[in-house]
Amino acid sequence: MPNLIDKLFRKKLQERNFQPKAGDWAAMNELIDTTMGSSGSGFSLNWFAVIGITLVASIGLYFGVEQLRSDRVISKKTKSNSSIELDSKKRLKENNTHYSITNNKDLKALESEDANSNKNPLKQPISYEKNVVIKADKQSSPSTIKNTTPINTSVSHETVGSDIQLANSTMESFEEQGFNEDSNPITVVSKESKNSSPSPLLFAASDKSGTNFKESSKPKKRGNKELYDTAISTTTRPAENLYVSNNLFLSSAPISSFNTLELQTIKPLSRDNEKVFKVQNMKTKRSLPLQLSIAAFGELSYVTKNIKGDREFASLIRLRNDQEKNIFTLGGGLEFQVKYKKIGLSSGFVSSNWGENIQYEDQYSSDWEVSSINQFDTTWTQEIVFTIDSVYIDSLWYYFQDSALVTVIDTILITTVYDSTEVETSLGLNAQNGKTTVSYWEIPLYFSYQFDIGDFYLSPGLGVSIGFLKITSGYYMNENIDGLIQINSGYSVMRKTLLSGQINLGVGYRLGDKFAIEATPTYRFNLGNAFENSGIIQKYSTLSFQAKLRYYF
Amino acid sequence: MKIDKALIRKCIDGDRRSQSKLYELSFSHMMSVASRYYINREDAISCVNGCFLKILLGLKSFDHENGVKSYFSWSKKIMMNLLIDEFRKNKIDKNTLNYLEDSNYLDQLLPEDYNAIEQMMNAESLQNMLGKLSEIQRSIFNLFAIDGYSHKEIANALEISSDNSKYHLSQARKYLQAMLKKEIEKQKNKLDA
Repeated sequence: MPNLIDKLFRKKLQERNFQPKAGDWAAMNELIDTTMGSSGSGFSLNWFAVIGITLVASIGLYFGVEQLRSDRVISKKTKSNSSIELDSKKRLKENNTHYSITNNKDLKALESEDANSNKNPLKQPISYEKNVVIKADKQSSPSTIKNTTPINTSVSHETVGSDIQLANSTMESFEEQGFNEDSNPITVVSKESKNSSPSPLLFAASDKSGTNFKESSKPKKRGNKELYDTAISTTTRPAENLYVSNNLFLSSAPISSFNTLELQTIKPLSRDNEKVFKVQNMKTKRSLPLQLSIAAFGELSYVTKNIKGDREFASLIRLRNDQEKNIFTLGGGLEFQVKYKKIGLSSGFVSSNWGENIQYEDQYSSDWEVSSINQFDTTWTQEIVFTIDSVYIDSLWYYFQDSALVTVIDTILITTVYDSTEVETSLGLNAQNGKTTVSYWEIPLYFSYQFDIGDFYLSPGLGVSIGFLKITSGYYMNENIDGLIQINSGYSVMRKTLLSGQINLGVGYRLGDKFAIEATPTYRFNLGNAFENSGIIQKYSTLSFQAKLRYYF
Repeated sequence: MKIDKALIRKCIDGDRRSQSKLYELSFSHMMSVASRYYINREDAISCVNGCFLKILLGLKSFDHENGVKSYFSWSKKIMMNLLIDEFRKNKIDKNTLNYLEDSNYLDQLLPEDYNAIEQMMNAESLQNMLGKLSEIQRSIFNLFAIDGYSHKEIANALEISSDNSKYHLSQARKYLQAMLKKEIEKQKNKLDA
């Protein structure tokens, strides 16, 4: 009877019960990722990270390179001229364009010149910094200034591109009008800010005579605006005019792109014969005053963990919460920041280490359900509820659930009564006690706002961080509480990508123009489950102290 | 939790948590088939995962065309097709053999022996015995004796002749018979001692 063999094998092998191990789903998960693509959230996270980094790096690099290029051009021009001239008798000259401006080296020279000028009333230190100044020199003013003949220039903002170039072109126009190098009344001077963030440009102009200027500097009403003798007007006329006292008239028309130009009077220079106006919204080639910085940092983190889960894992969760302790870890990283005015956007890389100190015991308390009391909303449709008993207490019916029949519990408040019992084991659950490590490469992306207090600053920030699993090592109690599961890269039980929220407060101190040190308390918290098993929700949170050294480009 | 339309719909939508749940709920069913055909657990898991991937890819059509109750028979069909594809790929011995009925062993397993064996043997021991068969013997025995394929279907599936299928089946039974007998004697000796 050969079919007896068939029957035996059929009976014994057909309906066997198998349970997946933790690693089985991990392998399946990987197979799904490679074949069907990552799940929605993972896919988004990867793209989010790439976009974040690309965005910050692109903006930063673009403007960083632009800044470097600009510095290089000016530096080159400065270097190619043997004389950097800081008053009306000295001017830079190259390719018919005059510069007298602008890197730190020049700034020092300028400051030195200013210091020397204290003895000479005409060379008073300029009472402001980081400005472009068009300045007339008393001794070199030509006699024609006294005339009312306008000196026309043919430059436009569109043509020359920048404020400095406009000023230089204006100087040039003087030369074209017959002023020689020594008699040109206009000088362009610039100083860069100690605080390297770009600031509005300032212009000043004066005639040779301080007294005349003073007398004529009373504002004149033009519509609602008060204009001074020395001004760049904001009229709708096709020509934009620069007036100086003694009726010296510089025309730089037509300048159609000056439509948004507005003038406000700001603090005058210390000399009476100079008046300064602040030019706002002056359109230049680089319209966004962005600042790029990079920071290296180390961090000390206090790692805490929260585990929740399905009721079937109640004993395991309780055990793990009791017997897995919080730890301190070290980490570090690199941060790039692009700042627009006070608002910063930061990203970079952080090597962060999470985990816990496992202190399992060979005995544990096992929770088991004694009974359930379901409190129904009285508006709920009761016809489909099957109960085995009920009592009426204070206008509410309390039903004792017949668990075999009630399957819909969505609208039921369940009160479950547990009892627990101590379980002694000889399973060696404490054999691998020690530290577990779950390391992620994190890519933070957060916004911050900077409050300046002298050389100090406060910078609160808010954002997210995307973690990519790097290393796992150690052991966890398994779901049946009868052994340990190893967590390592080959038998992963942790998610490969993870999204976290981040709140931080940077406290910084500037060390000159280029460097700053920062102490940044940072709180990061998992927004998703770090655990692969969807029945157990394991979330880490870390309170870190980051020490940063920041460099400004 | 059980397999229902809501779970399947979430799986179709790509919800990884639901896919994990469906995997968990389907695992035993898939593994009980795969473990009969593959000796190593790793190979069986690989087969299970391959099958589950096909299930996920085909869930959309299943959801619309079939009822939830038929999920397991549908998934088993996928599993069997996958196994048969693997046999074809692996080029198992397909030499045509003329099957000559060898009935010498047929009367050696008596019903009383069967009862003793059924009590004595557990699934794991039988699994080990299957593992000792050659790949083609194991496959054909599984297909014919447990999964209910006819020799004609086996011949079509494995691209062999029906005689070849019958031959390998008889060889498989013969070896299993011998192993079972050996096991009975071992148990008897134990009892005598």
